[in-house]
Amino acid sequence: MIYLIHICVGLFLMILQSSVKPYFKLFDGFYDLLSVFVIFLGIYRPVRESLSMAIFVGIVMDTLTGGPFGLYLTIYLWILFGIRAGISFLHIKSFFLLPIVISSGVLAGSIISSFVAGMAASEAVFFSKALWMAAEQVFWAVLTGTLLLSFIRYGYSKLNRWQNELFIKKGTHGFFRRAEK
Amino acid sequence: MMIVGLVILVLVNITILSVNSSRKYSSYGLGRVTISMIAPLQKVATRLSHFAKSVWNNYFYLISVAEENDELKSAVKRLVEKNNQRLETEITNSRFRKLLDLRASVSHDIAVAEVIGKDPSQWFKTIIIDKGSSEGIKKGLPVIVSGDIAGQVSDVSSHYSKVLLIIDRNSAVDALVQRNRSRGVIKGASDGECQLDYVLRKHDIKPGDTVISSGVDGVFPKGLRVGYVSDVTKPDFGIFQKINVLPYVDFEKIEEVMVILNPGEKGLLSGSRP
Repeated sequence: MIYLIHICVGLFLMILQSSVKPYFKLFDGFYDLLSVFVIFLGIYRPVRESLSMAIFVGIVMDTLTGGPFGLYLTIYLWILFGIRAGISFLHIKSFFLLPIVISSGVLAGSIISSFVAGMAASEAVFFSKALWMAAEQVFWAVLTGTLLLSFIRYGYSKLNRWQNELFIKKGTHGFFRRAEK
Repeated sequence: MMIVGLVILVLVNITILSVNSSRKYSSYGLGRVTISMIAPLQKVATRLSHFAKSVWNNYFYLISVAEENDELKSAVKRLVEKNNQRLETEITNSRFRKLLDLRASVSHDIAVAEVIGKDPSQWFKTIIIDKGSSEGIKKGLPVIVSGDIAGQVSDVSSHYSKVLLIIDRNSAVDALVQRNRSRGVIKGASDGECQLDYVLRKHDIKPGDTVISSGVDGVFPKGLRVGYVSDVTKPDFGIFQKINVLPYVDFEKIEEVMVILNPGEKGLLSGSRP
């Protein structure tokens, strides 16, 4: 059940950025929302869940975008790897560290994407433009990343509470047995 | 030991990505399944976005400026709503009429499709359209908008397809400068522009020159408009000049496209174009 919820959230974010976001000029330079979802999974969900979901959303993104197959899989797995490595020696759930963690994740995604897009680029000014795009994405990530992550976290905690009321009171197991601590 | 492992992992990763980027359109069949799964949702979301945008532009905005009494306000709202519907119908009609006119003037079999999603990544330029293999769409078919080149079908599922736009860096179209027949290759560049590569320095190219497809690549029929030259730079060294081309298609506002189903069978558009 929890996987179904993860899939729904992932698909919702994907559709939001492919079918709704393009109609708002303001968000042209916005970062990849799924990076934040993967960061959320990396920080607050068990490894098995986060790894399988990173692979799932990575594959779906790879088939929807024009990039080479494996690009988003690579980005999400490296973000997840970085988060899990960071968790072992940093308290990255801290309110002050979260914007840095999110913007670092977005920056990592931008660097890998620009590297891959750059392989096909013929224009000399590509890297200055790529730098500008990456800076714009990091700016948005610093500004709104924590908010989005908190929103996702809030949604999950609401679902958690709802399932507790619905199932645990009745003595059955819920969807969130390994819910965040 | 861990650092060595990490370095090896990075190298393997880069190698896999490099190999995959040299292969065109390879999603190993997963593309069909995923597009079939996501595209219907995108279609609904796109319709909702259109609706919300039209409501925002024509309804709420007017509410904020109206200072009439409640009765008048509601009357205005009703009229605006009706007017908006009429206007939207009029615009859609004129767009469809243009498509039909063009369809009649084009000497190829055409499938008209609606754009239901855009590339979720900023780094690549593709769109998802609501026609697929069941409507005769195949991988590699050319896609046009009002007779101008928009892109090429890169992945197909039964009812939906992915189109690689000409402004994507992976796209290449063999092209000619219409005025003096100089040949080059149109490649995607940043900011929704294209570059005309491999044009020799000796050729006289001027801003404003129209660039058309040469037909040599076997994908796009000869004579379709690509864009116009916006800037020409002759570097101090090298044998080629640097030419920026602005596409005729406005990719920001693209809503419907036409897929040419039999590009190899006939040549030019039957009607002459400005």
